[in-house]
Amino acid sequence: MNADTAWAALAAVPDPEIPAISIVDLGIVREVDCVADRVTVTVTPTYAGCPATELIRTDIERALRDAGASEVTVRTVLSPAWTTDWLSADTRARLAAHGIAPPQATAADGARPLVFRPRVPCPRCGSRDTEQLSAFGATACKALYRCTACREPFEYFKPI
Amino acid sequence: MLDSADPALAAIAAKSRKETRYHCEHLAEWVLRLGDGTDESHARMQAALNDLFPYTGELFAGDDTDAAAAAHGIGPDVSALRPAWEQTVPPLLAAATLEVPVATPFRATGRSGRHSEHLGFLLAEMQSLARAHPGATW
Repeated sequence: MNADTAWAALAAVPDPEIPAISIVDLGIVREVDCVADRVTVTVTPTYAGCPATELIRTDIERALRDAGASEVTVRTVLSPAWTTDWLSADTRARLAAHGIAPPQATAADGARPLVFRPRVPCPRCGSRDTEQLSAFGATACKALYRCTACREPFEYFKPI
Repeated sequence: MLDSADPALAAIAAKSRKETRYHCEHLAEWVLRLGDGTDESHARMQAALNDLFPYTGELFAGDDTDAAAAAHGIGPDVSALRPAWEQTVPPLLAAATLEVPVATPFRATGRSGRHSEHLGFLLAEMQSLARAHPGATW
C-alpha cells in the first residue's frame, strides 16, 4: 500500500460527530507512513476530552484494512495542538451546507476572557441577527444558536 | 508550562491552554450572570465566594516538588503566577458586583498531606460502598 492510497482511504472516514466532513478535512491526520502493507497513522486529538477519539481510531484501522493494509498502528501526538483554524475553506463551506456555522478565527494568544459573543452568521440565510441559546449543542464542541431572521436553530462549531 | 523542559508536559500545556481559555470564558459569563443577577443569585454567589476565597492562597504556595520542578525548568514558579491572576479574577468579581473577601492568614495544607479533621468523615463516606460490598464490580 502506498501513502496516496492510505490518504484516500482516510479521506473517506467521516468524523463520527460531524459526518459531513472527513477526519482528513478536520486536520487531525498528521502523518501517514507506509512500509509495505504496514501503515502507521499519526493523529492529534481535537479536544482532550472528545468522546469520539476511540471511535476514530477504530474507524481508521477498519478503513485501512479494507484498503489492503495488513497492519495498522494509530499513534497519537499532542503537539502541535489542533486548532479549528486548520479547517480549509472547502471544509467550512461543507459545514455551512450541513447547517453548522463554521468556527471563526481563534482568539490571539494571551487574550482575556471574552465577555461578549461574536456575531455568528446563520448558515441557512446568512443573517447576522443570531443569538446563542446554549453554550453546548448536540456535542460539547458546538454551541446552539438561533437565527432571529429566519427563525431556524443551528449549531456553531466553536473555535479552539 | 509551554516552555517546560519536558516535551510531553509542554505539549499538554499547549493543548490545555486553548481549552482552558474556553473554560475561562464560560466561567466568566456565569460569574457575571449570577453575581450581577437577582438578589438571591447575588447573595448565594457572595456567600460561596466568602466560603471558598481563603483557599485561593494555596494556588500560589508551592511545595518542595513545585520548587524542584521550577529549578529544573519543568514547571513554573507558582508564586509568580499571582500577578496574572490578580489582573484577571478580582476585576471579573468587581464587574459581577461581588466583593472580594479580605485576605486571611489561613493556608490550606492538604497538598502537603496535612489535613483537617474533616478528611476522616469524607473518607468514611467515600469508602462506605466498598466496605459494605467488598470486591464489588459494576
